[in-house]
Amino acid sequence: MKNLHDLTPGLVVDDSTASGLLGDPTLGGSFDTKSGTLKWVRLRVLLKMPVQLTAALWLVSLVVVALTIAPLFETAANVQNLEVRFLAPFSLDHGWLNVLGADGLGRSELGQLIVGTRTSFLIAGGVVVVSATIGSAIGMLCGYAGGWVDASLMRLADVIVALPTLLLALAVLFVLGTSIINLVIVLALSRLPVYMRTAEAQTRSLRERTFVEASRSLGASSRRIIVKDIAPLVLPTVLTLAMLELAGVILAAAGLSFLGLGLQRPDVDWGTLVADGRSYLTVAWWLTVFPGFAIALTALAGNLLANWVRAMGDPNQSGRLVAKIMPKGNREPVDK
Amino acid sequence: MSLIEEEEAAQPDLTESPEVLLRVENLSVDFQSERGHIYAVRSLNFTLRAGEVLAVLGESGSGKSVTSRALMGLVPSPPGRVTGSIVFEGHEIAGADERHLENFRGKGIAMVFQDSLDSLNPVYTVGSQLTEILRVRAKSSSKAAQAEAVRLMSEVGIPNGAERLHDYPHQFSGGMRQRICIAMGIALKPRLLIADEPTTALDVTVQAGILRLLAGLRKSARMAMIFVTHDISVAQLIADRVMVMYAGQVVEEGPVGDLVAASAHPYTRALLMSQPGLVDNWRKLKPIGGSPPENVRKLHGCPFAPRCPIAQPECIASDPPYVTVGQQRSRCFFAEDVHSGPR
Amino acid sequence: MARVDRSLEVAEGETILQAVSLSKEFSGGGAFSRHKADRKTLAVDNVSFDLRKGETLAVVGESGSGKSTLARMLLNLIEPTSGSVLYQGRDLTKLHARQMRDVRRHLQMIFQDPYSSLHPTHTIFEIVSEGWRIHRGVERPQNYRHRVDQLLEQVGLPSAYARMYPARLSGGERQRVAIARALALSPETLVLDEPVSSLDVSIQAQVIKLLMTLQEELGLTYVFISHDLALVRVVADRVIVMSAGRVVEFGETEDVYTRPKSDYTRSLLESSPSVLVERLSRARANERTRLGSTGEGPIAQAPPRG
Repeated sequence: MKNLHDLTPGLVVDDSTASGLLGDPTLGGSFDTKSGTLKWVRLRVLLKMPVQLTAALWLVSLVVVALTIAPLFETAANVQNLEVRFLAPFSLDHGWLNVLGADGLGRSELGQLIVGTRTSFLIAGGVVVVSATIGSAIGMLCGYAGGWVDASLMRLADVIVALPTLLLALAVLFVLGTSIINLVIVLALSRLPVYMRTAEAQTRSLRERTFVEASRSLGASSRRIIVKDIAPLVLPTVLTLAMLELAGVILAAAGLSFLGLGLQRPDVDWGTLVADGRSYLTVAWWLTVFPGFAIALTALAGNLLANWVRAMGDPNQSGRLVAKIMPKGNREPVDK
Repeated sequence: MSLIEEEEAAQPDLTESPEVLLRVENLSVDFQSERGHIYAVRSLNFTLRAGEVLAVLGESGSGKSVTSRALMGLVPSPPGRVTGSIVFEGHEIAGADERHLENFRGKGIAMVFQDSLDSLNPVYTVGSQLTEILRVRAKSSSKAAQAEAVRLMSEVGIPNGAERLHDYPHQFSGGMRQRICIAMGIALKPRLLIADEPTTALDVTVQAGILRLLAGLRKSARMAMIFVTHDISVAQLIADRVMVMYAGQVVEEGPVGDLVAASAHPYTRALLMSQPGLVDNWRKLKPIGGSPPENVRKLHGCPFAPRCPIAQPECIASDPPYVTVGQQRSRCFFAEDVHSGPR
Repeated sequence: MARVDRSLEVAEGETILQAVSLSKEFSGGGAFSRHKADRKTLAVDNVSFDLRKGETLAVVGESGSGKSTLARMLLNLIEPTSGSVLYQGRDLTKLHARQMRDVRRHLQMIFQDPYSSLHPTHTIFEIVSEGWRIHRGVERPQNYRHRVDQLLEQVGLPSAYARMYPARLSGGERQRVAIARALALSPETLVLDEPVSSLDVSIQAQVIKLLMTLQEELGLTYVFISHDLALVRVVADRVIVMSAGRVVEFGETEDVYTRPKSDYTRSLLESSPSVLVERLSRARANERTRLGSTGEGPIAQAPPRG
């Protein structure tokens, strides 16, 4: 029997206890890189969540459509064929292009939808990307700097919020003229404060965390701290916001287009389609319903995915999520 | 006044063998979570007599806090599950429903928590929180409750009690707030006060004051206490008996003096030997290798075996029995050897 | 072992750091506050001391004593309102950012809370090697992997930990990582702000032993901030006692503990649980021989049981 006083000096961690903690990736919420990097595991988790997966697939396929095949349908969307005016959907009599019906000028609804997808996503994507990057960057700088920089820029955000989007849009589009670019600028401007405020608030609290202090004590510059310490933690929040915003921006763009402030023909997005179809709601419901449906589905997909993104971004929650979805997959046996 | 002088002033009248206030048998608390089954407390057995102070000593993951919550019926029932028997003054309270438990909470058993700022509602004055207890539970009139609240404030050592009743919790220092929490705890004159690490977050000088207060209350109010702590010195100061917990189990139990002078469990010994207060040079510190387990899942064998310097194969294969050695109970195959080993 | 820049070599026992009349004033309430209560608070009030190479200087005090603020001022993480910090002859308060950054290689800090001092989405490898990326030229990128393994070994962690995220590690292990991170730049002086207070009792001894062993092996100088008097007694060569921002006592450890000059120190010592226990145990032992009773809690002694 070993001498009772012969306790190990504790300089080397006992293997058995280490593995007791290691064996379970859910403890503390992260998981080891044996099963692959953080990103791949998250992807595998997504693959096992049907609802979120569907949402993601829907959005991805829309993007694919927007980027690849949409240009091919431009002719279909603009060619007027009075023979098929107000053609009802769900019949292949006049070719598969008209399977979703046709509008008052005989233009294929399917074609317009696809082209509209591209426009909607370009706008929404553009707005979200521009406002998210610029907004969160400003927000982080403000939050970290504090003082008058923070105060003044945040007041600027307040001003933007105070202005009604519509009024802003009116002003800008009147001056600059309606086009996709201008629409993107206007909407991006109006969405800026949301990211600014979120990023600023989060940065303000993160700034006080000990690991920031530790980075400073190592000699890290403010720029380095913002980029390496603060941004990775602000990113999931911003991403979640962006997903939710995506839906909102599509709706906002549609709204503006619906009011006639947005795009003019031949530029067409889902909003203009809904607007055009409004007058014919009783005779040609498909002109409004299909684009409306597309808007709603995309908004829903954005919301569903947003929740997943948020959960994955939080180190505490992601571990639990992984454990729930993949009970056996990653883990080494606990009892060694 | 030092602690010793205080005790000279008032010896408790415990000439007759005090009756058993609390009897806990086979108390187990486990949690079903997405992380699997966690056994926070396993087969706890102990008794507490009237006026006795029991310290529950343990580190993180030992189950000491869960135990204190289980005694009050505060373990959320899914995901937690409390089995076993808790008999307080003859009544079974384990698994009792809320209505039944209300008869005991506050009046029979009261609790003081670690975080006094969190325990008090920040939007109500201290006075209203104190009097609320008296008005609702003791059915006092407003006037009587007010008077009693003032008396309680002075009993726990807060000067200008009458005026300070109108203050809000954030206007008090940490130590004062904890005293207020203690006042709320003793307001209904419970027979048992459970204190879960009440001084851990406080400064050393403030801690000494709180400990004196509790010791005094125990005498004047004939109140038993269960004092949860991780600090063995605090246990030595306040307790009659100590129950050492590790990974949800009691590994040793006995009178505090005997347990510290000649412990019968390797964990207790190791804990004592890693205290800086007991050596004169850091080189003589003898740390325990490894870490205390956080979420216990295994069910067989001694939980301390992975870190134990005298562990043998049987320690991992089977559960050690409880062995009575001297005045203590220890859960170790080698309890006697440990007990008689060199100090 | 790492190469150390010993260009400003100071001999053992000589002064390596000097705090000269350090003060820090915090103004509460923000720019627009008109409340009288939001007056300026003097967190640190005219503190001066010297730090000798190779020693462990402890700063003890209760909460609000200013010890943590003082620690941060030594590293210029908090700017002093007045006074200066002289490190190897240079006044840190007068350096601009670039110069201060160079000095930081020599002066590192270990923080109190291991649960928040490591960035949650950086791997242990990234955390430990961070210093080399900030101070390019200290270590070649090809060597990072090898050096991180070396450092992890030095603090008693398996090299497999390098790929993990902090959430997987226990408190004691995280603190070891923090130590490895601090040592990566081969500093001469470490400021330790309550390095073990957040850890379990049984782990505290492990980490303390590690820290003290490393001090011997690497010739480090420590400023050890703590509220734990028993701990300070066994690790410190000299002790500063602070109260309300001021130094109330400063001397060799044993002198301070056995012959304290200030009343505050005395009351602090007397309130420490381990000291109390010692005193009461002795008294109880005397009582026991007098009454013949068995061991009971010293605060409320019951008469002997039959």
